[in-house]
Amino acid sequence: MMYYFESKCTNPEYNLALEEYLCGFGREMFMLWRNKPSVIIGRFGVVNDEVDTKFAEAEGIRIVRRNSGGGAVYHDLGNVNYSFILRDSKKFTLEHFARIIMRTLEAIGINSRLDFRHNDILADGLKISGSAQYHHEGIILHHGTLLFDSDLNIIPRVLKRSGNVANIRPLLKNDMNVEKFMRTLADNIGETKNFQLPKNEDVEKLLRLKYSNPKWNMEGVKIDNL
Amino acid sequence: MITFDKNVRYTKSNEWARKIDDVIRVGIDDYSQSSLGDIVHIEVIAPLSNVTAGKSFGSIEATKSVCDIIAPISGIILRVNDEVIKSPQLINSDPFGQGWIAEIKPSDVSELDGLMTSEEYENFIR
Repeated sequence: MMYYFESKCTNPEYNLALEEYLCGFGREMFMLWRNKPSVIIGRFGVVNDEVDTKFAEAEGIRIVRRNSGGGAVYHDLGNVNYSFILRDSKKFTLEHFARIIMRTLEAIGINSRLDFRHNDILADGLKISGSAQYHHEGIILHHGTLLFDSDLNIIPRVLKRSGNVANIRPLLKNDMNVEKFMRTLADNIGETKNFQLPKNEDVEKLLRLKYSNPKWNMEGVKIDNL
Repeated sequence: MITFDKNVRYTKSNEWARKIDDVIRVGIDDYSQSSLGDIVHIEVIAPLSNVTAGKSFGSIEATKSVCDIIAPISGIILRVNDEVIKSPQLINSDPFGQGWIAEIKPSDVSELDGLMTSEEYENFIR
């Protein structure tokens, strides 16, 4: 059975450090988390090609690099991130996870469809969710975004490449806030056990040495021996 | 349709290893490249670095996934395939041939015997 964890922290550097730590923790997990305004860039993304860094700096939008592939995405507190951390033995595809998320959205009355080309989830033809994967030492991390109530005006200003996106909240028949949306997702994802994060210094170390490090975030220089 | 090369050994993490004289040429297999999709970037540690069987010595980025490349055998990287660094899509088009990734001088060539044969690997991924 998967463990469930909801991060109460909204610091993007911390949440990415936590996610990496959980990948090495040895338990199958489903995690929900949100970040303060930030751009999360893919493992090999080039910051200047994808992000308007002047705009980001002026607006206090932090740029943090993730381990998975794909393009840069904008996060704020209206965007909910999910992470599946599983043993990689079954070779899960992007589509497998997209289907799970679509079923979960269906439970709250959102009809969505899969864009097979990009494995994005669309509602009324607009992207509401994107995802990416990282395979490392027998573990698969599949994580994605769910635009629930994000500031959509910021996205084309901070990202140099952005598609047509929409929020989930206006599509709901029965309105709910983002906290309730997260609880509903957690309740519908399948059977899970709550996870207690043990006290440790490893997340802090990843936060300090990797995810707060401009060499990693801005240049993509691999940070070893953590 | 997934193809298999009968003349290489396979790891559980989908790399292959081929003995050529006293070096071991390695790459990722057809199953792995087809699961990943279009490969857009590859990064491998520098020649003369030590590698350990079962540990990562590089990464591959497909459109949305990043995947470790795991050393099938311990030893020293003798050569990295520059063509594949320049054109990572060679892994998609010819995973067992032009898409090879690196050559390793093994510290103990008998480690190869611990890897799967083509038949064992076909059963493993089914």
